[in-house]
Amino acid sequence: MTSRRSLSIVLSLWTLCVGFGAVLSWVLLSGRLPEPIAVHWGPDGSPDGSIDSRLWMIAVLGLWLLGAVAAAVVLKTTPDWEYRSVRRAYLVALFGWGGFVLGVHGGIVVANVDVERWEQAQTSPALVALTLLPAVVAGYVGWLVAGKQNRERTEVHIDPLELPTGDRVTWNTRVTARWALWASVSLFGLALITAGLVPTGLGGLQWPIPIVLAAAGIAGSAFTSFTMLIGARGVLIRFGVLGWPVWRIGLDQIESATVQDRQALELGGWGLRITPYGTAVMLRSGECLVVKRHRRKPVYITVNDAASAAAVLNGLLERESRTGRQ
Amino acid sequence: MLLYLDAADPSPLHEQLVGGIRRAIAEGRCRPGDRLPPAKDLAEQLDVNANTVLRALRQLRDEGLLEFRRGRGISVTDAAPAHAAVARAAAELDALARQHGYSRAELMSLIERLP
Repeated sequence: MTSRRSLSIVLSLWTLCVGFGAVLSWVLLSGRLPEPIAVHWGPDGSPDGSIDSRLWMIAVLGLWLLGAVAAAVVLKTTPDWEYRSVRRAYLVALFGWGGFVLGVHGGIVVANVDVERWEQAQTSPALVALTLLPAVVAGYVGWLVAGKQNRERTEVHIDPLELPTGDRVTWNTRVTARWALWASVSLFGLALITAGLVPTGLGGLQWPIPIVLAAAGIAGSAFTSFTMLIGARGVLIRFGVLGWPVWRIGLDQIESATVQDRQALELGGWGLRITPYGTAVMLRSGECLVVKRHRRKPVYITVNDAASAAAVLNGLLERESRTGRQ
Repeated sequence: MLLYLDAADPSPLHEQLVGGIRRAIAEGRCRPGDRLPPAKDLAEQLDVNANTVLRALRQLRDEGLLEFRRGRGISVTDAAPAHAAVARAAAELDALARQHGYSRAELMSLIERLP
């Protein structure tokens, strides 16, 4: 299960299974469901939201297909599937999402089956917990499907740049992810559209929706690009078009620098990622500058020509340890 | 982009900076549209006075290699690679001429007599 081809077969089969499962349950049980069906319950456990059962099916299938399309894009754009951690992250998320969709759909159907009106549909904390069980089980299946095959990760030792006392050096680069930029712009666009629709009352849209979309667009825009500058003060990273927020890693916090090949999936995805393995500034998979810190997890930063960046950083560190000053 | 200031080089720091950025542009390591870090950040990381960096950046702006735009910061101009290559060759020729005892005026006279 280390090739893109085998994973695409798994993706296709799982997409069909989940879609078929959702449609089959509706076909078999639609005669026993009220119209409309209850889809939301208040804190007191009584139903307070309903929807046409056919629209519900369209929503379920639409959500699932959205996830499947995203999975297909990730499959196509991730360059390397030989690392087990990458396959596990992908398949756990893919299977887990499918399990979640089926679980929620199943919970709604069970709550509504054999009641005359949607106001009579009952749910319970146990049923809610059971709707999450398929996600957990399916996620575990994804973990197993990923297999045990793993490519050994190689770390490249980078010789320090020779830096005589008194010489000064910096190394800088700028990394931009155009797809992330478009995603942020799209979120803003959606925020504007939904803000325009709220006063009309169409679709029951409320103000929190455009506000949340706009906030997500703003937050996301900070991680569509970054500038990294290495020099006497260590590593300086400025995020986004505005160069804010700013992250400084002082030279005294750094042990060494090296280069590794890392995939976004194994470090929690794209953007700024804080994981048990370290913190990643990950706008694309591939060549990473790895900044190893004293008594803290390493930092992975995806840049081109990471070897030059590492050489400069190691040179500054070597001179610091040799002379005690810059 | 790597920028290196050599303590053993007798040229002023801002001239070394100008030369370093010009070289990076001429060699394609810095391309048209690429943004440079803010002057304050460069000064901090190079451990030099901010005015030294600003002087270098302004000189490159006056040569047409960089442009300063409000909201976009400092970026490499479209015409920069050609300018940088010629400016770099001119600087090297000037250094070579001085090495062989030619004054600037004599060098200019030589150039003017070229067919």
